[in-house]
Amino acid sequence: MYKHLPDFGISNKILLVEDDPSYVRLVEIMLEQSDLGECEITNVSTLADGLKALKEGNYAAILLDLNLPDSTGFETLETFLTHYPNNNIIVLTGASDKYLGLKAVKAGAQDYLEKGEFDFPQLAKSLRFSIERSNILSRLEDAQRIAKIGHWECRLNKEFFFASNEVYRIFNLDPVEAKFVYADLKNPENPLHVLIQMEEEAKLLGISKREERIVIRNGSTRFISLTCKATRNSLGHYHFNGILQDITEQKRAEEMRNARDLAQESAKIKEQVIANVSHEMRTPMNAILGMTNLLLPMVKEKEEYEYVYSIKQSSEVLLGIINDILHVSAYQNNEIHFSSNAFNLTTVMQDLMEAMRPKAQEKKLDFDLFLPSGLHQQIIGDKLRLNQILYNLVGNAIKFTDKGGVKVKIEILRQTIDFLELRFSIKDSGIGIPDSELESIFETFTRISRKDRVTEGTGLGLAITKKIIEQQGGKIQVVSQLGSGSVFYFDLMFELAPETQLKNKPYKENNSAKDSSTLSFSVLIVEDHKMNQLVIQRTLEKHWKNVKVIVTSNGDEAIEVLEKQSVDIILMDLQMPIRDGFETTNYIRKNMPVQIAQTPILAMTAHHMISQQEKFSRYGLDDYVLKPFDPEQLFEKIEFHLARKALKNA
Amino acid sequence: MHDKKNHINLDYLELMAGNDPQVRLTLLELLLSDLRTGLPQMRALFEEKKWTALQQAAHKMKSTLDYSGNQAMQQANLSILNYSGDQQDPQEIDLSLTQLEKLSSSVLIELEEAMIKVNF
Repeated sequence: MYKHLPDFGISNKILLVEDDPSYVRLVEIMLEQSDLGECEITNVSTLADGLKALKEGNYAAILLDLNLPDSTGFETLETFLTHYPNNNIIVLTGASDKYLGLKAVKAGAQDYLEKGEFDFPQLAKSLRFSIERSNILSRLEDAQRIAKIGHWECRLNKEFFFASNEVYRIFNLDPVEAKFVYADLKNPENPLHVLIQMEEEAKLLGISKREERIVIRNGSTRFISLTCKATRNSLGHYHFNGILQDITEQKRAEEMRNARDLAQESAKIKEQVIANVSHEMRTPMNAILGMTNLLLPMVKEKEEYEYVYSIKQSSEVLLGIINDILHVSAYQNNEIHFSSNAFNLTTVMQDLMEAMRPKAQEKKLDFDLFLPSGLHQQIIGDKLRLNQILYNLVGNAIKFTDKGGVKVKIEILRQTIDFLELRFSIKDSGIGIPDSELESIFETFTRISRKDRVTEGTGLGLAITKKIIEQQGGKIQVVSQLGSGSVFYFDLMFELAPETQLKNKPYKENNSAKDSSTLSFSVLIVEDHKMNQLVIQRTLEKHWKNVKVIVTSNGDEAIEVLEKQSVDIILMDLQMPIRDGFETTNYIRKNMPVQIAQTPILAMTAHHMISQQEKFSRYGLDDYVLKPFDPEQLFEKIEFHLARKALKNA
Repeated sequence: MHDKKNHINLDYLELMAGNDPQVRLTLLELLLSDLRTGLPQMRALFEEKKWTALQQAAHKMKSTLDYSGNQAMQQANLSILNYSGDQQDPQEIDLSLTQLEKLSSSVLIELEEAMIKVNF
């Protein structure tokens, strides 16, 4: 049977505390004859040496003679148990001391053997159990250490208290030195004093559970979970036992989870507020843009026209900036979305100069633009973002310059058949930036402060500018000398728009509406709101003489139309009865013939963050137009997607 | 060019009508009609606790109110839109609906005046 016991790898070291050499030899012989295998026996002959040996090493079992030169009788066992309660002690008693042996087992010894009465199988059996017990206790200790769970028990009638080593370790106490007895628990300063209170509760309820926040000896805080279970014997005496677990890590994780949830909730609320504010700010901006669009065709004088056109250009940029400021959280999460449209770079630069020139003139500054010869005029990129960068940097240059001037310059760094890499630089002769502030000027809410001047602005401009440039693969740098001025420069890559593309596509720059007014195409409007239906139809028909407009009120009607005929572009309201815009788009993309499935579909929505919704791209919407809509934006997007479709087909 | 009265602002409607009196008239007619029928319909849906349908009606009303230019009505309608979704707040909806109804009477009067002006 013994041979089948698992070998846990514990060393079979046995401590023999015996002062009679002949008996020591007898035990050695018996062990050699047993099937215990390799046993290493250490013999000491006094209590003091025995305690010393246990302090220095671990033993699977202790064979203890109770009568030693420096200690006799039961006291010998008590001394060992007090110091090393977890060790397996097999007491060796005299032939007539059977009662003493039984008493020893009751007090905590593993077993007893009567000298002269036991043979080697009995000795082996007792040691085998002892070693096994040692193995189990060792594994229990390991398990408790890993799980940070200790156990304890307490008997009131005997004022007995025991706690496993892990209980002490949880409190950062030495398990050997700090052994508590029941009386210690009554001291309110004792970390386990809480068990006294829990025992009272457990008497009433059977079980008591608590979580406590404690400050341990080294001053750190820990969270512990305590359980106390009460049982009552037939004599009415209570016995309590329970576990104590260090749950600090779980608590910290829980706190972090709560903090994360709170942060997510706050972010959600923030987004909602931003969405609402965005709506409020966008409405008057749209009115300014709308009125300017109406005013523009009525202006006859060239100078007045330029003024109104500047208002329009600046309003567009301002609207873009408002959007970006409101989307600052998106910037922080690198969620900027860039469009990719063809535009005329020279026109953009000239428009910028014209819009900013009045500011420069107010301060009597020279204000010049330098473009390289041979610059490819038509490039593909995000015009609004480029404008945003330039308006910010040029605006800053003018703001911080009181005399001299501002120069805006473009250099060609690299050009291939398809791509163009440009360096934009904005040089001013302004106040300059101290070296100590050069790093921080690109951080959010940072403004250059001077005692002698009031600085306008939110402190977001350069931070947003830097993000926009970096997310397009570029880099912004600054060279500055205090009192002499600064140069901000950045490099960006653009795709070149082929000449054929520009000649054939109905893309319109600025107010050259005539270029595309003869465009002939068909559009399907899917919109349930009658007023919107009328307005979109009328707006399109007024802008394009040869447009064929088909109006439907829901997704089913739209699909019915598309089953009979194809169209060049679809304007899709998203929220409709019967079949909403997402479902309709999904159906068109997946279930209709290729020619129809590939039709550009523009969502018409009031949600300005629609493109960030996962289902926007999942269902295959190409772009969106915000409601209430800006006609120019609608025209521009329709023209862009028609041109793209034409290119694809070509 | 546009009416600036106490309760309506027809800038957006004018912009969309694009100086076309016929379109302007049609838009005004539709606006009046939507307001006259839409609000009682929303009240009925509220009484019947048909939250999804109420949300859809408020969504439709959102587009209508863009043409009226009454910001208080737009705000009240937005509140209904928000509170009639998955997590309804009937008290808040009732409050906003009542506000919409109160404001609509003045808006309707001014819209009718604007209609008369167009017809002349």
